[in-house]
Amino acid sequence: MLKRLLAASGLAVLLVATGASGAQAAAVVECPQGTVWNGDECSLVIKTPSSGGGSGGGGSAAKSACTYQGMQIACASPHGYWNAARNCYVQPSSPQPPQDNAIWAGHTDGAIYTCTVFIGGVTSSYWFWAASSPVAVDPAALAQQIRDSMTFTPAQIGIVPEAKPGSIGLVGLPTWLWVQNPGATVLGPQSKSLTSGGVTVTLTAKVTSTTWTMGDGGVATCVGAGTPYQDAYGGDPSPTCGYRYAKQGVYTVTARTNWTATWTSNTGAQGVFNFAVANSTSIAMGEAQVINR
Amino acid sequence: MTRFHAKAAIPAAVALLVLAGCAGGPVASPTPTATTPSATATPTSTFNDEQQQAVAAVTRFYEVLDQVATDYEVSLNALHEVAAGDLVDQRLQTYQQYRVAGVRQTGRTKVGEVSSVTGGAGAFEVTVCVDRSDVDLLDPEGKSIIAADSPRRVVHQFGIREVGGSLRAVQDEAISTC
Repeated sequence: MLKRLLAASGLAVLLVATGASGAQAAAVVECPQGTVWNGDECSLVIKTPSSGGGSGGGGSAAKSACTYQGMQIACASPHGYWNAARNCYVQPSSPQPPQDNAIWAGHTDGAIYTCTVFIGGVTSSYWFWAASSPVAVDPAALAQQIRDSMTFTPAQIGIVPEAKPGSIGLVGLPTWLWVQNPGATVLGPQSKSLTSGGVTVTLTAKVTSTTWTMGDGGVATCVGAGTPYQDAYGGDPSPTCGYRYAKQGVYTVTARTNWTATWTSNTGAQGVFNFAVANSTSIAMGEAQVINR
Repeated sequence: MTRFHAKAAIPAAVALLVLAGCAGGPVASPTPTATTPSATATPTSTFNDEQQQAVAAVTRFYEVLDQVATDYEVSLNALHEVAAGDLVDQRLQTYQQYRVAGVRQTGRTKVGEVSSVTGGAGAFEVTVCVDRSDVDLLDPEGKSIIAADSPRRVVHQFGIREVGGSLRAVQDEAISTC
């Protein structure tokens, strides 16, 4: 009798199936399309108000691979790593419940884990027992964790004419541009590894180029730190990174160091983060006037 | 004709308890009041003490299920007291999603006629009519999420096992209407 396909007329499909769709009863009861057997009846599944699992990984190619009801969520959270099978963040329960707690169900091995979902301000958790760790470590989340732990320092702008009161450069003469503080945290490379749950991720970050926005609409893109100006160079142009202004004025110069952080893992997963770190200063440019008396 | 109706010779005492749960059964009996708790199945002399305990485990299962579904203050972990294995995992996941989505249950489950209890020594199969006709599942806007044509009185066959020193439901299969 329950075998009949229940009419779905008028039943709006609101959402995704619950995690219990695989219940034994499902083999006997056929629910209308868009509904699931929840163990006792066919029910629609209500859409959760909003995603709240945190944001994905920082605007890069290494986007989060974790989703909840079609929404991309952070794979790692204070509640542990996302477990797609249970649709929740999982981490070992701390402290572990006492051995006489019903959750152990007679087991003396394994451990108790906490499954937590926090969506739209609502948090719900429960315990479950597992013989071995169900905490699936997401390499992308580890990579994000490494990136977040690294220091990326803005470039100290080296520029001639100098960025100080009373210093005025001449229109048409070469402007030299360089990074005054080249180092691992400013231009890279810097590398770091992290291991969790048997997954090891190594991330290497370096600046691939520096984009100099000159304030007059012009842009100079340079590779490397550039060449610091010395008086001996006179009016020569920089051999590595320079610019020429066409008009007098006070300009805001921004040095944007473009980082590429590539990561690989022992699982075969890999990815790239691209991001930039910027710093600015101001310079004045004037025109030389020839005065004849 | 459901399995429930096919059971012909049901002792009067059994019939009474059955009708408390599955209203509309073949034998007239007092109707339960609205305040009747989940548990209504009372083992009878048909079953030995062990088997009666197995039936009681089904009743407890629905009592706790009703509690966690109606009162978010009740920890989902309470389900571990009455269920284990895949069954508790399934129900935990379902009711966690309900809570996150703001779905609340109204009404109580009635555990009705016990069709059969087999097994012993800590491993039983209990076949029982579960009446959810007074139960509704409401979304945050108060709309029912139960399919209009969903069966509401269903014969469940429960696997009851002694787990960690207590009888718990470990399997649940819906097999017919009642």
